[in-house]
Amino acid sequence: MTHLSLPLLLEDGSRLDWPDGRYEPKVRVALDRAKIRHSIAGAPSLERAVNEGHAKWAAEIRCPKTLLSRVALSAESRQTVTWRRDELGGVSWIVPGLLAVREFDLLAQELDPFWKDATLRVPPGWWLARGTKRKVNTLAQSLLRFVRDEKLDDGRMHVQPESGTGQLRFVAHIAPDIWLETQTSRTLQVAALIGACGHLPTIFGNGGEEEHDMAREIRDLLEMAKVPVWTEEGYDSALAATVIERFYRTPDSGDREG
Amino acid sequence: MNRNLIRRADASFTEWQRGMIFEKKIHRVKWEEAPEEVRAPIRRRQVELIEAVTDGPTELARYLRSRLRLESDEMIEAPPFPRIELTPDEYKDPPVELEEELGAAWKDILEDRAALASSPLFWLLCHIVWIEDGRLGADGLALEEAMLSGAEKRERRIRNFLRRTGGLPRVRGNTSVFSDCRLARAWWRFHLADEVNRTTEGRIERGAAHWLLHLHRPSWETLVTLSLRRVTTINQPSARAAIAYHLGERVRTNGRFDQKDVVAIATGLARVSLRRSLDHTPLDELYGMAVAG
Repeated sequence: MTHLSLPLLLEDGSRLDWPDGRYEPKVRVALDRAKIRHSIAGAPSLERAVNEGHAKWAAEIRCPKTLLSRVALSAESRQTVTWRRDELGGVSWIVPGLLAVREFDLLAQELDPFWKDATLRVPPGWWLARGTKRKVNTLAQSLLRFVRDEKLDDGRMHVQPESGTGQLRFVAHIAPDIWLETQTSRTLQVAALIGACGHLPTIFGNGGEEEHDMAREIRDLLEMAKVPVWTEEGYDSALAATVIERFYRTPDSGDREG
Repeated sequence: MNRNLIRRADASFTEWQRGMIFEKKIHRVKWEEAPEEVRAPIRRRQVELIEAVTDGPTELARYLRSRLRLESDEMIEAPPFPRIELTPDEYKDPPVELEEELGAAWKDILEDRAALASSPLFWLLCHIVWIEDGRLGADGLALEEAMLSGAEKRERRIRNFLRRTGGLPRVRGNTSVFSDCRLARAWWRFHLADEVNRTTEGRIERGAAHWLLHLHRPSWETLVTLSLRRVTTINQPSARAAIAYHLGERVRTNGRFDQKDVVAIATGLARVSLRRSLDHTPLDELYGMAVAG
């Protein structure tokens, strides 16, 4: 029997097909790859479907601006999805999930009583679990994290390297009175980036940048723009930051009149 | 090389386009009501561009280079131009045969480089190369007919130029490069038709798919707008194959199709994509589901 609808396990819990089921993908998105750790609990049929090769872990990459949408599959719960920088332009997304790749029967016993007594034949291509979509970050977004800092006086910002992550990453501490504006004010975001770039000569003064993808990426950008890098005389953190994310004269306009 | 130059010229490109047009939504008044200090610099810049066009290829290329702050020896590797010269009519609305010819010539450079091919600035830079080579018109008269024509008012003529030479994203959004820049549009139609051919393992020929995408201009614009903004899951190659299949069926049974058909098929596929990965659903099944939803 073919169904117009089949049970679906959603990360946000908004469907009740699996009363005890949880889909909790952990997604780390970098510039050219996403590392996803899929995990399902409380839905043994779905776990079995993966183990028996009826289903695979999936990650859909979407970039509307380049008319791209493709789904990468993996038999392993730790999935790495890569893309070429030439594939994406503008805002892009990753959507994790679990996809049936072969026809199989799903046991109704684990499901909400709504499905009672149904024989659920799942055809290939059906989504069995879906996560919420994650944004693919720009370099600046990968580099910076903003936190509200109650101890800072009004209007102040403090940027420092984030320790313990093994990644090149900075935390911008923001005074409570301007905290909300960090989400919308490009000026504040670029100001934080200038603060982050100010740390680069200290961090990489004695080398070590080759171990950091992000540092290599920034060096490439500065060299392309013919701007001094942190090991050169004349390095300017404001100039470096505005090569990564430039200031605009007016807010970005988006779609307007025809 | 291309990426570096594009990144560097991006700010100048945005600033140049912003300064070229009068936007009612920004100035909050009609052109006639705007103060002279707003109108004068826009008018001066518009006149400069029109003069550069009518002065011919050398002057227009020089003008564009200066606005993008490019050195005289700096340029991207533009896709090779297969024709000695396009007529203004061919430039403004390339026939499907010409689109095929351009697409085939550009495939080696643009295949797998969607970010580049969706950048209005990239197409403007290509235009500079082609203008310098005399491919888009040997004199000012031909360039004027190709790039400005179709409007009387100066503002409209300027918008025509900006749209045709790469797109006007600040007014038309991301759709602009796919539909307003006719040479970019030619590439994308060829590329997507080629993808349909590969996805269907040759069951839908590239030429036939391209002909369908070219057949009805408003339908192409609708398809692009849906793909960019509303139902982005139809960007899965199987979805585009299903769309081509159904448009072909419409032509076979009704002799035509229009935007409503495109919307119906795309939204049907979008409904299916809530349940299924379109690329992992057998094509024959997908064809049936695209209409049923």
